[in-house]
Amino acid sequence: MSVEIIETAPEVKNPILILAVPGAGLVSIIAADHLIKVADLKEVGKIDSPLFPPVIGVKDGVAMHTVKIYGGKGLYVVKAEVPLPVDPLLKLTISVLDWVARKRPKLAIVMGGVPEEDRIKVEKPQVMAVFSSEEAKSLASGIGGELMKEGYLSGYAAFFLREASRRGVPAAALMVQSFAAYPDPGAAAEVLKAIEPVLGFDVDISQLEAESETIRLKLKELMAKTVQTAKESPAPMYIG
Amino acid sequence: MGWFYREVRWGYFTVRDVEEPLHEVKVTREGVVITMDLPGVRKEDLVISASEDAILVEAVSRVGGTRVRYRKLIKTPIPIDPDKVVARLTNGILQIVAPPKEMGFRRVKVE
Repeated sequence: MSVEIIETAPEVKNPILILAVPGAGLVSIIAADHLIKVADLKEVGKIDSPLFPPVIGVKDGVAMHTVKIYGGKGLYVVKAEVPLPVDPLLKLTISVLDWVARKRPKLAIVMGGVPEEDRIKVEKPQVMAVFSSEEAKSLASGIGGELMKEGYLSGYAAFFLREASRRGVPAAALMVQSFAAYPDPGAAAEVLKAIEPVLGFDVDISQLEAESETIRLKLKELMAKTVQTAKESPAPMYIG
Repeated sequence: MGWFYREVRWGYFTVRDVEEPLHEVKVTREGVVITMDLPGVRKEDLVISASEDAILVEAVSRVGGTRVRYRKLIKTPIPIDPDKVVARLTNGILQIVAPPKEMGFRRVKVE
């Protein structure tokens, strides 16, 4: 069973790709939502697969895909609006990387939360950056966050970097200290600050900070579902 | 097929009178540590009650024009001392630390 990517607008050449999937603190979802809003990105495609859970979004009584592509300003944001079990998530990632590789991307970025036990005491969450290659590191030299000097990275980000590297796509993973099971707009703000230098436009995070409580309330159900999906997953090591 | 039915029941737009907050329960050296996400809840809108084996949290949140009532009864994994329970609310994240009940061992007379 395959993953189908349908583009509904002219393609962005040499884009920066951001792939956002629900994970710890819903960091990448919150960051992607904010980026779509402030950069006024338009929906330019959708992704579907029989492998995806039988969940649809509904708007004005009409079924919507739950994995969408937004584009504009030299950027693609691919966002999964529902948590995906491990197998469909990995297949989605591979398909998106194959798709973007044909567009000769400048950079592919994945963002994620690293659960921090004492997150409540951390005022400014730290961002850690890992690149798929030396080339990616130099291409994204302006990117914020602290470079991970040595060690091991596991989980979804590791899978993303490895698959990007196999396809010759320069990629970066930005991981931030976050709550594990609560939506974390504060952590998302720090990630956005870190990627801002490579985007080529300003990302105003003041609104994200001001609407923090509304975002947490709105994303409560998705967060609960993400935690449940991670628990049910046969290979939790792949859930970032 | 259980997952199939679970998925179709789930929705983002569920309307409930009383919400169950996102929460985590851990047992640490300090005792039972409960954290709870209560966006929009102020200290004055929060009531916490404790017994030797449970903690009840009731709160009202106001975010923009939305009013949400939260209620959650958590059965503690170990007995706790209700008089020593402490709670702190920081930016809508509640942390409750409930020290364990002191276990006094008494000599049992063998008959």
